[in-house]
Amino acid sequence: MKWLVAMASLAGFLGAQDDGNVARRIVRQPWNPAVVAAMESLPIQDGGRVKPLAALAAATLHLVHGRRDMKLDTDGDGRADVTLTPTEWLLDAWCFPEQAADYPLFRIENVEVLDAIGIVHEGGQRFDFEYLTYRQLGQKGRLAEVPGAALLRLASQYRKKSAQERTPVEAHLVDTAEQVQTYDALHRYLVPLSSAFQIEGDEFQKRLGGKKEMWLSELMQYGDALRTALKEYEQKSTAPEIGNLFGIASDLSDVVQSDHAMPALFPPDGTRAEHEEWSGLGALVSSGLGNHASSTQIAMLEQLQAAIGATDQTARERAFVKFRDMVVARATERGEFAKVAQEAGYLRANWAYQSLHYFLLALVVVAAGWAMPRVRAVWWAGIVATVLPLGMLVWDIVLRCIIRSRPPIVNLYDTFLFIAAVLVATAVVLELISKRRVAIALAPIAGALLITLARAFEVEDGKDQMAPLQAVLDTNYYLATHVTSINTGYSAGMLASLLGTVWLLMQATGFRRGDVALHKAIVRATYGVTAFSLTFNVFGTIYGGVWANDSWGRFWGWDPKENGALLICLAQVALMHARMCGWVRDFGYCTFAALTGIVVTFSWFHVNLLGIGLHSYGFASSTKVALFTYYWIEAGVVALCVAAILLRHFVGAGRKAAAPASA
Amino acid sequence: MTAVPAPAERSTVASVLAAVSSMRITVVLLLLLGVLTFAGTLAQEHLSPIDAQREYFESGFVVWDTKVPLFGIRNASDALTVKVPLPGGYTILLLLFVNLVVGGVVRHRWTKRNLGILVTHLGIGLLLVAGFVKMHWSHQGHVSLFEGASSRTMVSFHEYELALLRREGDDIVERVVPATALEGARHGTVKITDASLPFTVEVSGWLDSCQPRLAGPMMKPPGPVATDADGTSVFLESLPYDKDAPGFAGCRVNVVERVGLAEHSAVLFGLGSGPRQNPRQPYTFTIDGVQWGLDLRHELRDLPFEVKLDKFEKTDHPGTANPRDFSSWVTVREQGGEPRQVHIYMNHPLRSHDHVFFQASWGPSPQSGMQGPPFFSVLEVANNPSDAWPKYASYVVLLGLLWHFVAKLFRFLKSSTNRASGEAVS
Repeated sequence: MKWLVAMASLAGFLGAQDDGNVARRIVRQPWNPAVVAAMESLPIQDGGRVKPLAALAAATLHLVHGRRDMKLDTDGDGRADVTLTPTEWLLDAWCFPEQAADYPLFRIENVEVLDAIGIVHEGGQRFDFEYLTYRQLGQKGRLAEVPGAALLRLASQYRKKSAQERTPVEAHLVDTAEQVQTYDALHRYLVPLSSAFQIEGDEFQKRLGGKKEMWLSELMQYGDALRTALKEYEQKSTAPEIGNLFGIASDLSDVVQSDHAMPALFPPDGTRAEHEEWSGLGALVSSGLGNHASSTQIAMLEQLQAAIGATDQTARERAFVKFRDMVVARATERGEFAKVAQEAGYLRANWAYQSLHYFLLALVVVAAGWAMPRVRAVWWAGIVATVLPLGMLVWDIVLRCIIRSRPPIVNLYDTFLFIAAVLVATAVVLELISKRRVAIALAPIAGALLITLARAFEVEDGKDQMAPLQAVLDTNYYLATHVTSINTGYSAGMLASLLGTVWLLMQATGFRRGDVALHKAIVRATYGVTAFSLTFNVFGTIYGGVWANDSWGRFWGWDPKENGALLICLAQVALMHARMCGWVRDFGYCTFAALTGIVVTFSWFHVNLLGIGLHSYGFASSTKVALFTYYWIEAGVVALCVAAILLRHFVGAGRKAAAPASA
Repeated sequence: MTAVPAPAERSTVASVLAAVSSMRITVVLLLLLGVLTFAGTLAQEHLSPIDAQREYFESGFVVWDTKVPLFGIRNASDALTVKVPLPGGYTILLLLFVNLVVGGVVRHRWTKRNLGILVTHLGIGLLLVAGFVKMHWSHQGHVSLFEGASSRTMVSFHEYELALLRREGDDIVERVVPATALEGARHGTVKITDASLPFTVEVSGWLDSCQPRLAGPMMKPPGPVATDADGTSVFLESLPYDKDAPGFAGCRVNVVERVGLAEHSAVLFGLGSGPRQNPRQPYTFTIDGVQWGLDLRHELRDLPFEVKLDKFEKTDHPGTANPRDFSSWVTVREQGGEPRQVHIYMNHPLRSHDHVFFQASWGPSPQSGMQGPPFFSVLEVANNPSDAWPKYASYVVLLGLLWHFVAKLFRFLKSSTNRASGEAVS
């Protein structure tokens, strides 16, 4: 039972005796890129939808590793020389679990976590991260129990506290335990396919056709024989003639129960309407033992088994491709593959990430426009250079809409892309109207920043960003009206905040002080964008209430998310009324518009962190740190600018007063 | 020398109107509402949503007492304690409405240029009126049914009532005291008496969220205790708000017989009235051979028609326990009318006779061990006269804002073009 030994050594932390400080050199066989590309679009059913394997691999790597790729040092020089894509990493974990156990996987950001679980380290707080391998968790550490066992014990203890009550180290331990358990389940999932079961005992072998070893796909077809033998020997389980019958029965029972939260790899016979749920390994083994597994699914299992259990890489790759082709053929017949192929293509193209580079390029072109203000062609080049990545970003959003058959925004990740696109588009339109080179300078900066944040959030969240919707959100009408409207309001609100901040910075630094028209144009633009934002915010907020009235039975429940949206409306309406009644002029208007960015961010993101209300999601602490960093930076910049402007104003007034006297 | 005529003094009414309609007051009220909204949002970390709503947004005055985390750190020592007196939501919204009507509609100049603003103000006014009507004249509750069951009553989520029951043969006659009449029982004793009753009921020790506990030498009761005939003493222990396990209200009752002054005491505990609950067991006592009962329960309201659940269906996303959809097929029977079948599902409520039925939730039967079917369906019911007004308000506000800002944009573009052509000419 080679696979059982593997499971015991890798997952059963308690059996380890090695010295945790000995680093093992990674020896790995590279994958053929064409095979990896094919496997990326392998359809699987996971999290309630059919999706490409690449999507599962990426989300899992985000969750357990906190990165988009896996960097390995295979030559032992202390520097990474191999980078694995998520799919390569997952294939390694499934086919070479022993090798993958040495990959630096679990990110530890605080040495106190290492101390708590007894991992030996160099001492002192580091500025970078430490990555633990799966094997390290099973090796002897500084404590009596191995680090993996200590980690699970502590996490179980701290889970009893609410998320708000946990210290950073406790929260880190809980998160790391979740990562370890996720990885542990995934990489053990296909271990039963990695080697044949040894059949011991004369009678047991006789009942299984005289075979001394048997692969899982073959063994599961002897369900009747196994059940009969188990019944007959129920009172004689240690009889020598039935050898390891009860051990194998126990192993099969483990396999049958291994499907929980694991991807289903085998599409069923029949149409989607007849049978929507795919089979995981456990479900397939269960139906095989009950003599009702479909021959197509057994054939798929045999191919997957040939891939996982192969000793030769070429044979393994060939078997994987055959398995993938069989699954694709079945999924295509069921009408489930078209969107998987689209999604695999979407993940490969990564338009949002591509646009990031072009936004940075646009920034250079726009900067050239500031250096050459009289050359109109450069101004146009800046517009075109910004519209190009905007188009890529919009195409990314359109593809997501097509793949999911949904409006642009379904989850928080979508909001980053949508807000970035609307903000940049609004800035471009503003630039075409005002032609002052300010809005167009902000567009690529904001676009690049928001896409970077989107990518950071995607990794931090570690979830499928195309997951199916919960029942109450399953309405394209309100997603298209309320959600897009309110997010359009957010994006314009952020742009107004940026414009206000730019005006304050220009006033505070004296930049282009003589160009009164420019300064006035920025104020007008801030006003116009605030008005644009307000229109969408007010409509979106009220229409959100209309949705709530249809789904929750009340128009307004003072839920944190509703309150957040109301706060933006109140801030913007108060700002406009303050301007109309003369309480604020350009200076006051831009100051409060700049600060409105904090209100927008609070509503967009922060209210979801409170862990209360109907819109609560819950995030890791780094999102909160990022939010507070933004609040303090924005508030700090505004405060410094206001101080500088007031100082300049009073010093200037003093000089003017002093001038006649000296004259 | 001719006397200079004194400037005409504004009448008191005009002065008051000017003050009430001031745009500066608008700004102050909007900012106050912003601070209150922020405070009420943070308060929901330690208050239930309904309590936060009542304390902050439906009140005349509130003291915001909370710890504001600095730098995102939640440790108490790093938090700033804030205690700020604020006008409650009711006060602010009322003043805002007056300010809006007087300043934003009545005293606003009705010109073509201002039409968008006026329309927007009308829409916001309609929204505020809708909120006012909902707060004072709406009722919310639920009807929870297993397949085949029917109901003509809805059960309130948050409101309680004390039912006084009297057995008459096989019938039970009810008289109901609403919880609002028992407000005084929070800090004192409320006496319920009537000439037709042979006793007086004294209600005390009201708690919004509590659980019954047995009193004993090791458990010193913090409040009133009720002692049974067999000597068992029970009291109610107050529970802090827990969003995962919302508590139930409770109180102590003391029944004093009019003749003989014999006393019967008990604690009442307002359990929910869903189909998973066991049959209700009111506190009973007998006086002069007549059996009486007291039942603290979630308020019941009659529906204008009967609702029967014909079928309930819950489907999950494949391979998961996450619900994709859940919906109910019901038969509505109105008095004297033909029964009609209606399909109620997420985001598609049934609207009839000023009542709206929403598919809110479901639950498994106690026999299924909290897992499989049969399920019961929870239909949330709202009786709100202003149900559709916010929808109309949203259209009016959108129309007004678009009118105003688009017109403003066009005026700006026109003036820019004129300026540019003027510069070109010069």
